[in-house]
Amino acid sequence: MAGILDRGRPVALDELRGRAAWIRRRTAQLEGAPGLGASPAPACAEILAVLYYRALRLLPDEPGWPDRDRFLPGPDASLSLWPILADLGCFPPSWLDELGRTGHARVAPGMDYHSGLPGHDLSVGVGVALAARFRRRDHRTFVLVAGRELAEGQVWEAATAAGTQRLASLVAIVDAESAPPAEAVAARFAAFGWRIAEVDADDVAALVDVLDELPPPRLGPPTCVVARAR
Amino acid sequence: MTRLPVRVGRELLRLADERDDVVIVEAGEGPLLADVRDLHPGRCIALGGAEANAVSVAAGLAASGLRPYVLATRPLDACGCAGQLRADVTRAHLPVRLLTLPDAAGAAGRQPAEDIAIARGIANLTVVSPCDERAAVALLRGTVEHPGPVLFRLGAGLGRAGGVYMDVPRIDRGRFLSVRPGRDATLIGTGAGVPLALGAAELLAGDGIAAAVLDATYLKPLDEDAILMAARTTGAILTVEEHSVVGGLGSAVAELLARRRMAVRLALHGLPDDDLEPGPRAELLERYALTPAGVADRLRELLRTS
Repeated sequence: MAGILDRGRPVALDELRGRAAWIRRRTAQLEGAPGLGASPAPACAEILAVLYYRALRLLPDEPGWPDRDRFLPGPDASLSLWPILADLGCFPPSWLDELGRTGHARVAPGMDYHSGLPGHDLSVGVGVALAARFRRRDHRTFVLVAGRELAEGQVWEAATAAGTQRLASLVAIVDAESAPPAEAVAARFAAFGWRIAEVDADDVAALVDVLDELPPPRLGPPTCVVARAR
Repeated sequence: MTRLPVRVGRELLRLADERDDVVIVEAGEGPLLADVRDLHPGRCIALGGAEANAVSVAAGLAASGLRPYVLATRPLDACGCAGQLRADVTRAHLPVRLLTLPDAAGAAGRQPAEDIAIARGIANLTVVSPCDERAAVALLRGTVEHPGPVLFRLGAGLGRAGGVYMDVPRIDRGRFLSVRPGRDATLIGTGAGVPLALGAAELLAGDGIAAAVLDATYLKPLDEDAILMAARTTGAILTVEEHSVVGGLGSAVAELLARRRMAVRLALHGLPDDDLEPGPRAELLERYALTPAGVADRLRELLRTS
């Protein structure tokens, strides 16, 4: 299909680093808009850059395309999705001027799901990945988990379900900045049957490698990418 | 462990036969739906005993175009997953169906006393409360196409022998059913309150009081026309529910009548807003006069007030 941005598309590492800086800047600008309680969480900008400008399979002309890879932003990244999705062409950039005003859209084309409550998006991601299996589709589901969400019991209910269901298409990226030591995060997810990859959160090259080498989205352990803060 | 009423299980199997988007999310240990599991492998998703997680997982399934029915082998009610319902399901208008079942053994078959209040307060959530298995089947059928979320309060008395309806009734969205005519007063029951109201109406008929009985099948949206008509034609309304008198059916009726400035004799019969006595369900109902005789006494008292 024309217009598909495929997984692992070639892009220079420096361009991704530039994108991360741009995401950080645009998010900070939007943060001032009234009514937007979200934190800009610049720590995850490299992760978002690598996902949206290299790793995710997308069709911006058709944001609801069933075979697109899904991304659930957790509590920290939802605001950053607005400039990214506008840049990719999912909706007109002029919408960003309306952001935060009463009556503005809460969800934009290209946003897959956002609960708004900490600890919930990984559970919803389990449902999205189960639906993909049920419909025999090969898209992946990525969930950004903020480190502080690991204090929520529901994250571990979801981790248990994903491990038991062997949802290899599910990828949790734990932004471990506000989490307990990274080793503990990795060990805990591993104990629930997850495959573990560890990177530094701002190491674009390492993020590219990890996301390029994800196992095929079939039956198998889900992947937890522990993104350590430096 | 909870017990899924047989007809409800059969209806879920029928829905799974008919529609390829129906999936059952089981939040509990035991297979509640062995038939569905056997006939439609892959349509039952067992998630262990994590009920709140199951509601969020169902949101993900529904966001992907499926129609998940969540049921739990342990008690799951609106109180236990209100956050997940509100944040993950109802805000996004997702077609999740949550079947809440009372605990058949652990807590002596008791119904939660606050779940209707919580569920009614959640925007976009349809709340239904069948009084018997056939009404439950009717509501499962009647809501299958509804594009938003639906909470089914499957009450403790649901699977018992007998019932209110001889056949599966037709229940239109937001409509009560009239189960007994009467001109002197109206008893509006929901769930287990309906057979109680019918029993009370029978007792009252012996005293020459003709009490109508309405089955509040839908608690949200509420059948405002039926309530206003009952107020106009009988002038006295008693609500009957196995739920706290705060926030339940009685509150919903009172809110409506106050909003419409209807001067009518009204009383709310249900569980008190207090610590409830421990003990088996039958003893609890006796203790709080949730019996046909208790309801009949309460209506006589209401009719004595002018």
